[in-house]
Amino acid sequence: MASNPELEQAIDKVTSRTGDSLLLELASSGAECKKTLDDLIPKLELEYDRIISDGRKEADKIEKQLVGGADLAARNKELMALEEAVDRVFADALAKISAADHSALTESLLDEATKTLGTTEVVVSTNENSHSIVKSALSKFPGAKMSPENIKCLGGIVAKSKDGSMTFDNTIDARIGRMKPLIRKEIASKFGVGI
Amino acid sequence: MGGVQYSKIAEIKGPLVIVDDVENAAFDELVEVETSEGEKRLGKVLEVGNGKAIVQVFEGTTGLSISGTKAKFVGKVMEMPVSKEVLGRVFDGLGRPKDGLPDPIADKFIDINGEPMNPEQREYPKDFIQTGVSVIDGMITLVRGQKLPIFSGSGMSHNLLAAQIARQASVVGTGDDFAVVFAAIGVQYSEAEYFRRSLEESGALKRSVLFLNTADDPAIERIITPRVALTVAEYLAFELGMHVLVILTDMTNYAEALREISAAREEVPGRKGYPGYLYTDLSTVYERAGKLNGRKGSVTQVPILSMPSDDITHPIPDLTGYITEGQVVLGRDLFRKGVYPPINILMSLSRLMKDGIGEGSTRADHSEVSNQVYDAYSRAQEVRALAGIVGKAGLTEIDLKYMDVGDAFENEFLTQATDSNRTIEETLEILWDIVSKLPKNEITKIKDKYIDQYYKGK
Repeated sequence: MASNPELEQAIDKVTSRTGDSLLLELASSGAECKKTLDDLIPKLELEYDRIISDGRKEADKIEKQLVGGADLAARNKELMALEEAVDRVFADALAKISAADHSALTESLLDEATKTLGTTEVVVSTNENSHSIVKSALSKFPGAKMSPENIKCLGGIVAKSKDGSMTFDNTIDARIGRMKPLIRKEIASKFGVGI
Repeated sequence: MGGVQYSKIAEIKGPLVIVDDVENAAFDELVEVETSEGEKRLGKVLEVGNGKAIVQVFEGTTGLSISGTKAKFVGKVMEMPVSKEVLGRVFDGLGRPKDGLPDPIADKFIDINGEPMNPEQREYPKDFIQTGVSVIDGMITLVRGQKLPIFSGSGMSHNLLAAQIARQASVVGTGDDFAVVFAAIGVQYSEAEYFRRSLEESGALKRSVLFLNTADDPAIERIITPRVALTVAEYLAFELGMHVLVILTDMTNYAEALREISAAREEVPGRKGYPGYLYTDLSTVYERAGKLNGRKGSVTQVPILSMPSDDITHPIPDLTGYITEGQVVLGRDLFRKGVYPPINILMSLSRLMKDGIGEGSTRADHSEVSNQVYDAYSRAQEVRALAGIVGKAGLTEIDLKYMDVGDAFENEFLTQATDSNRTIEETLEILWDIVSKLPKNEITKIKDKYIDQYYKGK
């Protein structure tokens, strides 16, 4: 096939023009890509910071949750152990009190009860052991009578007005009950708590 | 000396027991009421005279009979045993343990009615408390020692907000101890359980004390619940030097209980049947907040009350507003739109905010950026109303910008997840994002130096 220089020239021209335009397009796309990437870097950094900060917050939250829960569980166990020890001391003390002789206290307990009720005309009850002691002490309180029925208590007396409308419980049990919160504090302080 | 038990009951009327032939009883004296079955309930003396004592029974009088009931006058007022051990504990509305643990070993026994603070000894509250809730920290700032109520309505998300504040609240920039005392007054069981679980799961329970009076507990107990809670708060604050945030929800239930007693006592009713002394009584609760000169701790109160029929003129919010230092109002419209927390800032105000923000506590531009956003949101509301009449097409370009600001305020600033704890810096950044939606010439409340430093618009 014979060569056609004009045709070859035209083809060369078209090829070179197309190549130039392709190179230009490639350069502009490259620049555009670089710009997009450059623009994204600060956004990426922001997003990165946000993820790190959220992660830290979440970690803090979980740490607080775990530490808080563990602290509380430990503290609650300590409270239960302390209460058990206080109860044991209390039970021992009550056993000793019930075995003790309260006869010396009887008169002052009766005196306190009649003064509180504002009259000596009362009906007095006590436990089986103290019955005779209380009965003999009643002679000092005009109008006071002994109840025929005994009550269950560690010691002390219950005084009731004759019409039955007022009662004053001055048993050892009631007195301990009134003082129990203070006694608990006292016992706990012996274990080194609440000092 | 107390301890006398009386068995002559003259009358049982509503929550009241009237005891006859009583001598030496004292006003407010604690009374142990014993039923014929031996069950013991607590009460207190409301009135004494002519040999009679009127006793208000906290646990109600259901099941009591005139013949079998006995009333023992204990000889002292009601006291709450307090010690540092109460932190992390859950109590009922009368201050009895509800978490299966024993009574706290008391350091002190304190009269639950508290002692009034000497006004001369009060220190002006001015230190910022970060709640982590943007709208409160940024625009209705809470300061230590303030009493800032939340006015809500039936069914709105005040309990979610209360629990979020309790979980997240902290004092910024100091190593001082912080505690939350939470008193739930007449709330549903599920709500009480939500509060407990929410504090437990966030690890905040160990620095909190919960007092839970649920809806099925006797209504009269509700008179006592805020008082025992405040007694503990005062002890933690003024004896142990902690900063204490007290959340009382729902004070409406407290006022209802007060009305019940007043009706039973046949007192002359005031507005809507509430007693004439409602204001005085509420002040005995709300005034137990503040700071004392020379003492490290503080008691800050956030009482929550639901306004019947969303009526802000109802006696409870009305009288509360007279006593407290501002209010946070929840808006029904925002709630319906699904915005959480639905705080209507245009009706809300923290009177002490100006003293708790700015350089040295939050940031120097805080007050100005907050004012600018307040102003812009107010304008946005006007524009929205106008758009409702003339349509969006009839609005000017600047009106449309204000509408955008209104939307951004509600969607980006106000709206916050219940577990999102934003720092004050984050909050101020969002406020600047909103301000930056306006052209610079519309920013009239912020100094140029702050605009140059923080404005993000073009």
